[in-house]
Amino acid sequence: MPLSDYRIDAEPFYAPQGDEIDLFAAAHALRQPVMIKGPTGCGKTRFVEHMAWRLGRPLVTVACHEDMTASDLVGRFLLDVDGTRWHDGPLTLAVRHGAICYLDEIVEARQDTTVVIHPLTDDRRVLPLEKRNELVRAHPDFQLVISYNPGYQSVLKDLKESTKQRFVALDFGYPDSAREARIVAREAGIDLDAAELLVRIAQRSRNLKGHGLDEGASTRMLIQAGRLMGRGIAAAVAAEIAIVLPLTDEPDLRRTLAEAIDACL
Amino acid sequence: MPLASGQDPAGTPPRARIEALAARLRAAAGPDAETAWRAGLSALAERAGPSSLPAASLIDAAQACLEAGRGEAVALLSEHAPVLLERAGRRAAVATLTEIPRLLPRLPTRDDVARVLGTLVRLAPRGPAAVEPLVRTSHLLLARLDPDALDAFVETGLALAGADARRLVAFVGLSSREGRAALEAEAGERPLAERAPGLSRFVAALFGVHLLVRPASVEGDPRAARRTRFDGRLVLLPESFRGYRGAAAAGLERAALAHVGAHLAFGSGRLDPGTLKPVQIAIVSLMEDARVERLAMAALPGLARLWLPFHTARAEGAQTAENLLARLSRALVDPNFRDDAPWVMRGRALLEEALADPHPGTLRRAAGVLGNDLGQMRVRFDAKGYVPQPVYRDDNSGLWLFEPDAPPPVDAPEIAAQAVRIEATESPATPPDRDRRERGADAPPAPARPRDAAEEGRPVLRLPEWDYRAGRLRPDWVSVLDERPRTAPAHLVDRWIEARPATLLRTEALVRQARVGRPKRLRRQAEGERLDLDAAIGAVLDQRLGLAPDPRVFETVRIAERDVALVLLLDISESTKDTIGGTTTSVFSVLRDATAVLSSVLHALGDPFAVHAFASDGREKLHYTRVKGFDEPFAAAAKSRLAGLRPGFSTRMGAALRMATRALADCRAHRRLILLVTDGEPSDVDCPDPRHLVEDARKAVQEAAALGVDAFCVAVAPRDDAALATVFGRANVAHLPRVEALPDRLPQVYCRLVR
Repeated sequence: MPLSDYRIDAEPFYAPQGDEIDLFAAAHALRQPVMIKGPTGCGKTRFVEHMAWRLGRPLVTVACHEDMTASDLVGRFLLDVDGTRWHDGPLTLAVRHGAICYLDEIVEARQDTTVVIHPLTDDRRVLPLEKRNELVRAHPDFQLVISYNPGYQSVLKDLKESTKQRFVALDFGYPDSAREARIVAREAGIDLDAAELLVRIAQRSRNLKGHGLDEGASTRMLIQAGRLMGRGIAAAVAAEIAIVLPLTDEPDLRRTLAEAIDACL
Repeated sequence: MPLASGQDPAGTPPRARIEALAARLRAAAGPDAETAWRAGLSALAERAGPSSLPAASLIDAAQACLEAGRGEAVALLSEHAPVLLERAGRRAAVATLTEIPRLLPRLPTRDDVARVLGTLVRLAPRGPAAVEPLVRTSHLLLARLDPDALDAFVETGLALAGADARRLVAFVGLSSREGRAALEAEAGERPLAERAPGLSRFVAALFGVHLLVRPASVEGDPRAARRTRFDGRLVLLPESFRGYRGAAAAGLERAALAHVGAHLAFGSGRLDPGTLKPVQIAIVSLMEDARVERLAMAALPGLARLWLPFHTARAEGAQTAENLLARLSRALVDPNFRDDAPWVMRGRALLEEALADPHPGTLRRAAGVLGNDLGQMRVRFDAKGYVPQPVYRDDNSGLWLFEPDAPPPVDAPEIAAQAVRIEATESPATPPDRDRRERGADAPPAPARPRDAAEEGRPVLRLPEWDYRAGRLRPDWVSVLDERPRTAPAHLVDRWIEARPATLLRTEALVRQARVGRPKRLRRQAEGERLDLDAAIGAVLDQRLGLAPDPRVFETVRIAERDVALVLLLDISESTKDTIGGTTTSVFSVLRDATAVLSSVLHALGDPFAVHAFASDGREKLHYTRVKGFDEPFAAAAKSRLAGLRPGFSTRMGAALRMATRALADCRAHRRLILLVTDGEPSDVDCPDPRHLVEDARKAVQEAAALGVDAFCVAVAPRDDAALATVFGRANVAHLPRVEALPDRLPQVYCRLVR
């Protein structure tokens, strides 16, 4: 089984924010392509992992970047001592063998790259491999999921209209503070009071979004800070190294953040 | 020695007193000091008479210095006093001789004294009237400045006031706002305008409320600025609080702003004073202050550390309203404060009720009860003199719908203008609103406007300027006037272009080359249209040798796209009116033609560009004309503005470069260029020192480079090559000895720059 490595055995922790699990399951039953929108570190990737586990499908994840070419997705001929040999890319692998293919931060990829998913995301469900002169018909279990952070992308980096309109979309945000505190407490292994403190700190930084910060502290950041606190590091220090310093290099903003954090303690 | 402790009787005849002091001076500071003192005395006596006030002051000064154990200062005073007497007059000399000995504790070394006296002597010829006021305020200045900073402060005053003696006197006497601001600046305090964005972000982070913070101090009305005042999101913050400096002041400002933020985040809107008495208004305000602070501290417990240290009231003291209110203030927010006074305890209980029931009527009833109690305790409340305590609290005027006893409100349009300016400067992401600017430029010129308004333009913003002597950026130094461009028929521009058929042909060829873009062959790619033969052969070789071949055996061609934005900056100063030797053509008309040609080239290329022109008339008037904006085509409107351009005034290059940099700052292009076309070095009517504007322009070029904007210069028939090379760097100046060649060369220069 070529995709056995891509199966998820243990349940990834996920605290639902609403009915997104049911919605995703319904879309999966129809094999509809799904787009997940939301700020960084709010749980998009975790949600997809959780759903792959819940639905019993292997999950092929590709982190997109701006130098990614179509070949990086579909595959290429490699040279070896005996000549050339075709090597399936991650997308082709998922299409052939029936996995959920998750393209993380799709807008980062060059626009000519994103069009290769077009024939897969309408009722054709095929992937033409031009170089190999092959037309791969998608496995019945194949589903495409992409994620997309509308926050810090510039207008230059937006999905093409023809790409956008192929997806159903789920909009994610940071969980409400009580839920976020529970998530942080569980994931970081700290008590609820400490987690609530971290959430309060995060809200301070999210207030600065658009006023010097592109994004506020994410849930993921809070978990990092929480884990440090679990190792006995003081809250102020953990917040400094896991939240303030990574978020900004601007000294004034750092000071403002530090003062705001101080007000939370 | 009977007179050892310096008890020379005042009635001692001068001769005997002088000899006695001379002996002590010789013992304390050596014979040279004595000689200097005697020389000083005779110099003063010669100019002002032997028994005159200056001479008598030097005798007193010697005694005072000796008593302070600072004999060496006497020699310095003796040397400088005659100079001051001659250059700044009698009063200045006497003031110096009286004040300096008193300042000795602040000037611990001989060198310190010498530096302060040096500052006075240097000031004397340039601003004689200012010496005495400076000496009189020097105890205030030296309390916060060291002698070097004092000198810089005086230099700032001289630079600001120029020839205006009254302004200089007000400056050094600290009776003008700019003088106080300069003192703050020299003392290392950043001006409030610089601190404001940080403060407003602090509150934004805490409460998600975005405040506009601006200074509240009003010229001539210090009382108005004792407390913060807010009106919605606009906060008027005193530039300084009495008795708070440095870190303490920073903490106080944050406490004050956080308090306003708490009002906005947890307050219940403006209250109607209705029939409430002044004491009840004060109590409702105080309880509302405490209520919002309690709610804020419940959400953000760290705020307690910010606010509580300012509550210093104790559970003791006289039964005055002031004392009781301060104690109540503290009791309501500080859980660890014990005060058993029944009135205070009652207030505490009432606030708990109000916290449980957020209806504003609850506070009103509580104030009624507490106010009545105060009346029955026969405690008088002085509404006029009441200031909310502690110092970080606001003046309460923002809580009420109106306030009959309020001090006169600060000039409202002034606030609005400042608020706009704060907004403009606070968000560097959208500097001075290109939309607005472009709209202004696109709008057809209003024909019925008064002429003076159209000629003068409207001041849009103030720019800093670099003072190389002081080694600092003088903030808000240059005032920019956004000129309403004059227009002339657009077809003139087409005619200028067509009048140069040869140029047109050459530039068209240039455009064809440039437009195609330069294809670039990329070798050794993992994929591509063709095999890269060298790489392929290498790969086959590796295969035969049994090695792992490098898979990058393709080559591809990519067309390098040009992504350039340009501001063509035209120096249209008076000197461009000069005619070119032997013709009737002016430099300006050639400049205009060249602009027309380059603009049509850029238009054909599709590169985004703007054309701005500048001329200055002193630092208060930088006439800045936007001939063409980035977002408009080079069509009729822009052409008619180019045709309407007229030369005049001087060349304040640095300010113009800063304006062009601002215009480029929000352009998305990969390469951002300023191309300045000038006929000479920077100069202006108010700058006698030629180096000043050169250094400022150089600084402006460096600032632009730091923002990723490259500045180049095309110099037509310049008189001073060296100055421009200093400003832009030798490689970034193209010299054009023949002015007539400009229309031909300008497009070439551009194409070379962007290749």
